[in-house]
Amino acid sequence: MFKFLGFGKRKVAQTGEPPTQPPSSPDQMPSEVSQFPKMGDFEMTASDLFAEERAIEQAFQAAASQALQNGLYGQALFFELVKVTSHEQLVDKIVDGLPEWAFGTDRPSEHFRLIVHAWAKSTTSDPIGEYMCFKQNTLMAGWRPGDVNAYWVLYNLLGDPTGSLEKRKHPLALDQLPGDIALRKGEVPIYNYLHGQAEALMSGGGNA
Amino acid sequence: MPKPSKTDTSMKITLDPNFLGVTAEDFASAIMLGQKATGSDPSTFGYHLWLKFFEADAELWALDVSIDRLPPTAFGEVGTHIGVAIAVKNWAYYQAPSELAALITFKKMMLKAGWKPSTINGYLHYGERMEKKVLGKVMRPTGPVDFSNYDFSGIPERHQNVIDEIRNTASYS
Repeated sequence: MFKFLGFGKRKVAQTGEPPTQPPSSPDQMPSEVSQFPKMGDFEMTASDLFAEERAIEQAFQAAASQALQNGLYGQALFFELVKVTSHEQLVDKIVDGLPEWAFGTDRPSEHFRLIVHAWAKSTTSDPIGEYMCFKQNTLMAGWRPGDVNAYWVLYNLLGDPTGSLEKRKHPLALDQLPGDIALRKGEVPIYNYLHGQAEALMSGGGNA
Repeated sequence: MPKPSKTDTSMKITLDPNFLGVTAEDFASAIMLGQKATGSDPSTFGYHLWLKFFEADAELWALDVSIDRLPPTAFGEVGTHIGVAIAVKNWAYYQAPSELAALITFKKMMLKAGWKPSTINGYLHYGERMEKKVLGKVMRPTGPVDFSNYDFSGIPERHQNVIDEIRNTASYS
């Protein structure tokens, strides 16, 4: 599908955050599963999610257990909840309402946004599939659902003003990016994974 | 999650002028003006700060992403009053000269009502996705909003203020 242009893995720089106030926060990730948020902490119920209360409780517990292993509570809760409910709009709202410790202080990067959207366009054939591919990869990189939806609303309205997506010759649009890609910490492993997938796709052996 | 408290003014602000795409001078000015406009009600800070950064030509995606990261105390969202969102959206999209202008107008008014950017964008994204799936296209109003079709009884004061404001616009005189 794509002519191989010889794009090796790019030099990736993790950009820093210059906060206007010290990064210290009284809010910290709990140290026990029982101390993590529960459904009852939110202004909605399991029935609002068209799901069984027990299934939602288990999703919250599973997310807490995962977070104690890897520190990534926001992502874990999203992916656990969408296993037991199809009401993704409310799942987004729940996850977007989590405190900062659930995600860390990183903001998403524009380079990663283009890379993942290019990948979604390169591997899906319909708008919903494109959105889901974009969302899955960006959430795994530590984005919040609100970051995804803010971009998608603008993209649906304005398209791609730079034309980078349409002009791309590389599945990750690396030909549209500068030599030094600036990514946030959580985005780097996902970029590395997608780069491997793109290499396989271009060599004809991809399973994307 | 804890509900916003009108007495909590201990907001931790972690914003980045580079990410927002504004100069350091405009960044400082927007925060100062946002705080000044907020006055004694911190739950309006999210709205005022969004507005000041928008006026400083902040990048639209980065603006929503940044404002969403303010603490819950910066917003006044109370429940999800979908009828208010429908009325405000129809009003905005009927009178605005372009889709982008309509989006900005809708967003401003819903922020003013106390919603977070993520709630507004989620409402837009999922609503329009459903319209495309069911109707094959995104619905746009073909005439002015008939407010008599809506029941706004019991909605929070900030929602009511927004409804009163748009109901009184010249477009509907």
